[in-house]
Amino acid sequence: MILTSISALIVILIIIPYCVGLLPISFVSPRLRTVTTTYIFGFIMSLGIFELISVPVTITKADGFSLIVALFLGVESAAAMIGLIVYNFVVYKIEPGRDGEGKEKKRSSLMHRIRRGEKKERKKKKIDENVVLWTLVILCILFQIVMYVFMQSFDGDDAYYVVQSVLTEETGTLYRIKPYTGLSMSMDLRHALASVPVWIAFLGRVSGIHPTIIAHSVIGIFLIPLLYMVYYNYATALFGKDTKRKAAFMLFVCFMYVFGNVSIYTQATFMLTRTWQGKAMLANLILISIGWIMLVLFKRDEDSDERTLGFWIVMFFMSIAAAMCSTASVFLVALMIAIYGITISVCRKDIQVALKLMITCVPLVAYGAMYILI
Amino acid sequence: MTEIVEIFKAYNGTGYFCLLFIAALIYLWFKEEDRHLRVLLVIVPTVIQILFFIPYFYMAYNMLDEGTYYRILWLLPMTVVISYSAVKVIGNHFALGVAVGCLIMVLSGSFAYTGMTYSRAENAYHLPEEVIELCDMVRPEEDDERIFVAFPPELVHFVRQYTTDIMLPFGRDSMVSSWKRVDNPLFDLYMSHEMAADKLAEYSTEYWCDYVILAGNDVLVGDPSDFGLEEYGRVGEYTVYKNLASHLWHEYDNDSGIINANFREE
Repeated sequence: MILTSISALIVILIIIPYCVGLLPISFVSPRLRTVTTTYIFGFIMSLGIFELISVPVTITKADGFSLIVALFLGVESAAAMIGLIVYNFVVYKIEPGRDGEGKEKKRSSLMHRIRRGEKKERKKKKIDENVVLWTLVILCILFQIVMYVFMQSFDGDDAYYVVQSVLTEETGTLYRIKPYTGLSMSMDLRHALASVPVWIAFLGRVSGIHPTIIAHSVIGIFLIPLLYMVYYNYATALFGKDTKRKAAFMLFVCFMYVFGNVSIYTQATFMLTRTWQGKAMLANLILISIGWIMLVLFKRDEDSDERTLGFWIVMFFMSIAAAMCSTASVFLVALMIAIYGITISVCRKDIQVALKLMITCVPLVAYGAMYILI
Repeated sequence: MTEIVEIFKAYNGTGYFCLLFIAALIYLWFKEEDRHLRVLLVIVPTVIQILFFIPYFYMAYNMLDEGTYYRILWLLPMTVVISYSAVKVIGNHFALGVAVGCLIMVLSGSFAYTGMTYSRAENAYHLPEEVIELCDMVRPEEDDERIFVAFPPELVHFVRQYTTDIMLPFGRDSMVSSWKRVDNPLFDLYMSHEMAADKLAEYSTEYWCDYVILAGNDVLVGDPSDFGLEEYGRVGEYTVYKNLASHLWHEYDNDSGIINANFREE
């Protein structure tokens, strides 16, 4: 039973999202294609797909949870298959030469470095420092995962969000029962627009694990490393292949999280004390990912010929995933994208940046309109 | 403006990360040579920070979502800016620099896993073990209809995270004083901690409770068994009473209509 549950979670939270991520990653330059980027892309797209399925079903069908589970599994599997096919087609059929070129370049640069005859001692010291730093980073991340699993924190909002997940999984109904007491109510559309509790219930259904256990003891095991993958990508965008500086950056980030509980409002506090709530996913996974994508997209010269279409596709899904985390987040994320768009446009004297970013906000505008009308 | 400053202070709390962030911004403003990074890591955060302190912006935000203005500060890439500038500052003095940097972060922040709300998990649900035992004691059999149970207010957050087969006569919505709540005499009785047994029996019957659970510090005035509350079991300091007047044990007299009237208000 436990093995089946673990296998189901690995398939749903790791393997399928990775395959989904192969779709957008096919449309970026080979230099930007990494395992972590692919997985982050896939995870965010999967969240977006879930939101796109969940909200219409919630509105139209009171007991539609089973339908959401079936539809999402079908669409997600199809997206994963498409990802695999497109990736293989693009990488092995369209651009084999380009990839081969890259490998050759890598090989020759390595030979060049070896030929330069760097002193063995110095190299050893560098490796040692690297190993120590990365070991510290991994230990720090593991520490946070262990604390997530073995420590409990009280948060009053769980009486709504976690109970909503349990209700959804146990009764199959969607936002028609009052979580606090169990009495019937008319559809709570304001909360229904943000479907993270339904997603937790979905994970509970496919794994056979109680949704409260999923929220409090399981989902963080995936979300905490995912967050640090985003930061790792941030580090790669900032420091390139300088692994030593990347490790130092990651260690500082880890320390800022572990010691970031300066108030109940910070991103770190949300991440480590209410990891499973949509608000925590918004504050960390979504907003940090947007910052990273902005860095990748705009830390290049305007005339760079690198392909970045995949990042734009993910930005579009990011808007939908943001709406999934918290209904009010649509304003926050739209504001963030607007600030980046306008500032970069002004600095570059190029209105196109703002216009392109505006397109990624279309889902946010639709959700914002629904939110205001409700 | 005062309110905004208060929100800013509350967000930064007991730590000094905001000072580190401002120092990092100033450092990068002068030292960052990459013009793209200057825009993304210096100018954009500065714009967000300025926007945060504009009163008209605060008013506009409150019209959309009141009480969450601090979330604007989530848009600041504080962690990235501080960490990036720290890596730049340490330069080639690597081992020492990293150690000092980490020490500064420890001293500037506050450890995440301390405080009143943190404790060792008692089970995989991360719920108090007593709640689980109480729920298991009173929950209906599979396929039986759901039941109402009155729990002490301090436990209502947890009960339905474990099982939704148990419904509550009052929940967290009664607990938060700032929320608009419906009058609930049973909740008021629980909050008084000194309960007349006759009132407890009367209200719990009105709210259709099949069981009533009292905490150790609740003082019961009168003999509960005189009013149809029979002791059913104990878990730790909590005592479970079976409400013999409940429909679960007797045919429910629907003529009174009291219960429906109470719940209809909600």
